[in-house]
Amino acid sequence: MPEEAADFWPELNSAKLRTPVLILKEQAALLGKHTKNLVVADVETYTYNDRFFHRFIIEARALSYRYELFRVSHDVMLYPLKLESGPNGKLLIGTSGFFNSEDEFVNWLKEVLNSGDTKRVLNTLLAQVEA
Amino acid sequence: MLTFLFWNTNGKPLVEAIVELVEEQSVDILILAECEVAPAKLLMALNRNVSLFYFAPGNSPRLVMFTKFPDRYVAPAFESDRVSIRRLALPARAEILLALVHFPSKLYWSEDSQMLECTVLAATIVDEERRAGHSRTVMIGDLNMNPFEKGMVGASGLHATMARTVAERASRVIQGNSYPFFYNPMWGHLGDWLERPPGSFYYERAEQVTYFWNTFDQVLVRPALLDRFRSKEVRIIDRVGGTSLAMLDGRPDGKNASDHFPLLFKIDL
Repeated sequence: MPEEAADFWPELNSAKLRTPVLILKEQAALLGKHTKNLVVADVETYTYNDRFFHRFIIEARALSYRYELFRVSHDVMLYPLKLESGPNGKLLIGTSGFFNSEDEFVNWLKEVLNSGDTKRVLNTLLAQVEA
Repeated sequence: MLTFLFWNTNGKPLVEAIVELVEEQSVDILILAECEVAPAKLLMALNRNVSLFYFAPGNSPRLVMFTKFPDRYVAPAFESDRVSIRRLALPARAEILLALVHFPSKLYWSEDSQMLECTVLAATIVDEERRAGHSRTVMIGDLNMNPFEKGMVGASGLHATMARTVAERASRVIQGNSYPFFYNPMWGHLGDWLERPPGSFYYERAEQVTYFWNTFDQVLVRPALLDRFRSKEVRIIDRVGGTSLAMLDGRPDGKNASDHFPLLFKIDL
């Protein structure tokens, strides 16, 4: 019988991590209650080379309309998180385009979701859906 | 346990009745045929108190679907003018296929044409089952055919049998070809013997053969789902709250409601 190999791997606990995609999905899931689900949000994830990309999408399903509010990416270490694109230049002001921690990212996200631009997008979509 | 409601609303603006029915029966998946109400309007009404429902669009103009979960969990797999097959894949639950159907009316199609169309539908469903890698399929809709018609019963049609014990055989071979069964609980909804509606649709014509009552609105279940499906929970509904959907003689009230009664059933997922 061959001797059992020594196991060099550590104990793993992924449950403690609040990943950027989890934070985004939490916020996406909350939009519907403000719009009676007429306008909803979703997060689409894809990978390219060694990076994860997350698209934050606003959708009016009754209009078959999808709008990418912003896109972020990160490598396997999660942070720094890179802002790949936003709805317009204004959202990039005050950021270097990188978030070095969860706090930085959450503060930025709060600002973006509360911004006049985002509110205008949502109101416009709601008005069109209800028309 | 998921509660499904199917209703051919005959193009009537029955928003209040639909919402009341959905709330009264705690419906999770609402499927409508001949719905002329704009999806957004219906969604607003369904979510008037709490935002529970989502619009789950497909490309079949004759069928609309609302679900108590985001529509990404009920993605279209096959869409045509009268058929919408969805993959219902909820987290941590077995995926099932939902085949939604609104078949052509007997006013415009002969029984032979309906029967042949059933063979096309049956083949489409088998194709999607092959693609999905399972046959946990439920078919729901207004078939414009009764459970006993050849397209419903025939092996190369929907092959829908009245008995679980037969459906449990899964399939049968005829001339070297294997045909999968559906179980059709709607056989138990022919006639008024349990003081319930004798069917889901009434039609009378001055000719020798007329059935008067028809059970056109049906749910069929593949054998793989039989242990998750209870026949006694299938109901043709003729009343919403205090309001009857029927006229005094029991026929569907096509003037104030729809000419079809709604169909309710549950699946344990």
